[in-house]
Amino acid sequence: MIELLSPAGDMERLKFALLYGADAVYLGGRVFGLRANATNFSLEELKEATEYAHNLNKKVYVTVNIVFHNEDLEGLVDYLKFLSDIKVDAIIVSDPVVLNVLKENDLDLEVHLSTQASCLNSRAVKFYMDHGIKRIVLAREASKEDIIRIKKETNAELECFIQGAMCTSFSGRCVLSNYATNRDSNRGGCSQVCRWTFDTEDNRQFEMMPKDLNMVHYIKDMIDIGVNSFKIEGRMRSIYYIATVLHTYRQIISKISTNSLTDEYIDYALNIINRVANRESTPQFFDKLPGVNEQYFNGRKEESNQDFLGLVLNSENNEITLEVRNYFKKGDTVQIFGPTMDTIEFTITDIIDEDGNRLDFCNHPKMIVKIKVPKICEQFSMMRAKVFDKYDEI
Amino acid sequence: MMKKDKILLNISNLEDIDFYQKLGISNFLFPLEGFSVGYSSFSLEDISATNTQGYLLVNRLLTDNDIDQFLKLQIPKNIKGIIVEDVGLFYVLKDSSLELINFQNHLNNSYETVNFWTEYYDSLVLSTDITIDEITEILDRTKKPLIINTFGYPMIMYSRRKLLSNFSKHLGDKEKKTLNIKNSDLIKFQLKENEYGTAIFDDHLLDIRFVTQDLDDTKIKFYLFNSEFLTRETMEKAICNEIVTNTTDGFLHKKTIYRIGDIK
Repeated sequence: MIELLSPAGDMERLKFALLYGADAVYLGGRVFGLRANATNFSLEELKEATEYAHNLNKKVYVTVNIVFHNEDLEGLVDYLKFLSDIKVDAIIVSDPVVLNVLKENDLDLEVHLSTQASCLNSRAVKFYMDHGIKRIVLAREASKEDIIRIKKETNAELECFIQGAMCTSFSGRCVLSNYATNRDSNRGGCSQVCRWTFDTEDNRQFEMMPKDLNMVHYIKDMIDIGVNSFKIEGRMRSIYYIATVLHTYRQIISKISTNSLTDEYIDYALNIINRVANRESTPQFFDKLPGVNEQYFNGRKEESNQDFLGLVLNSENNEITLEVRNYFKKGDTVQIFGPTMDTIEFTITDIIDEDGNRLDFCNHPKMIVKIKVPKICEQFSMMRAKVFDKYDEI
Repeated sequence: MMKKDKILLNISNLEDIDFYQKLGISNFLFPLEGFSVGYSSFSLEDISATNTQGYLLVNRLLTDNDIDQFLKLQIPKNIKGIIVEDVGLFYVLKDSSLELINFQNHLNNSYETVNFWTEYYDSLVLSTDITIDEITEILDRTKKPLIINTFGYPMIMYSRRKLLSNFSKHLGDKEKKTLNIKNSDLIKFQLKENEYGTAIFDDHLLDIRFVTQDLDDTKIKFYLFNSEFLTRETMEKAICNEIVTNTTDGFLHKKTIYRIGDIK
């Protein structure tokens, strides 16, 4: 089975990820994870998240992927016991200290090797498999040729990133943040120094920030190689980003399974993903060594947009109840997409607020309005500005 | 006073060997051409021709094809061991007679991590990013003598990307293999690129010689001195326990933080 694996920065994101097609989510507790400044999950929330996912027959992986200092070892055993007790499906680990703790305490937790360990060859995979690791999250630097060889030589369960931000360095092999800001990159404090602008000695501006990763063009290749899990980066991303990206990749995987993926759909998917990410994206290392076109110079052109217009709370009699997120007005052409519905496109004719007043526009986030739609929509579908024509099946 | 036979010197010019031997250095680290990044590197033929006892540095992360190429090499007799970053290369060499030393810089930060790796490796190079208290506790608990980064510019980032080639191409300039950059007077880095990627070094010279004298010498296999970017004169001062100016003791007395709320 091909697994689509989504980030979940908090409970709301987790629910949207699972609703929009994720087979599993990865998330962090309040300790031992590499997103120390995200909301993350309390112990109680970890338990709730795991139960919620399991009730949907979906999986939860918890990041325990910091590089440990002596002081961080305190509390690790209790935390791992807790994760074992609540039956999370796996933990994601980079520092082998966790393997020793599991062994010494006879804890039954499936372990996935984090991409932070930068695993790039079959021999390293074998080393880690010998130590009980069930799944390897490969280095983002692995090429198609590398992944084929690793799969062939080990038949290991492999997880690869398909979407999201990239480090400039090999993951884990960078402490620029420590040296520039005293914030520890390998304990979740990365200050993203590789995204800064620097001066050279001859007063030019030097930048090294990579564009994002996207593998829209190569999902079929990855399925053919035998990659088991397709991972999306972005635990701090919005529900709209998560829903859009998951929805798009789920469609691609589905079309591959029915042999109906077209170049037109790939182009459409790329437009949608690049738009929601606010950054350009490329396949990075899969098909070549990234060059001048895989990174930014002269400042990143981040085109923040307000495409996400609202969340559909309810839909009855061709009318939706919408929680507004961004400005829109009567006469705008919009689209609604949802977990399983076909995307619909229409022009807004009527906007009615909670008191029954007709409005010309909406400009208050979180206000509740009713809008006529051409067909019934799914609860928690999302209304977005029409930027691209919707894709019609040919 | 630091014993000179405990200094492991990362050599940046083979012609300097005689000079350093006369200063009492007997252990050399040779970055291996084709298998290292960030450092001046040398072919096995040239290393063999020095007839000097030493270790190879293989600090690249390797693909299977890279490992296949490595396994075709004839390691000369003057090589005692390999300081190796990639776990896969360790895996294929684990039954060899060579000493194998773990060099996962920035990842070897706790005594439990160290004890995991030294179950398999003969020794390990400690991270440059830990405090003196952390080093002391690790040495107290280690089962094997370790290597401590003691003097030189620390390599603090390694990318598979050819950042300088890309930069030159973007500008339409001739390709550069080294570059100094800064974000402020305090934040300065030195970049070095080869075919296998780009390494970034901090521009502050690490010197913890005088602190390491208080550590348990029996738990230290080598004090690592890195001569990259440095002159013979500076290295001579370092080796001969003389004062070198404009240095830093790194993170020895500066604990890193990772939650924004902890910033003071």
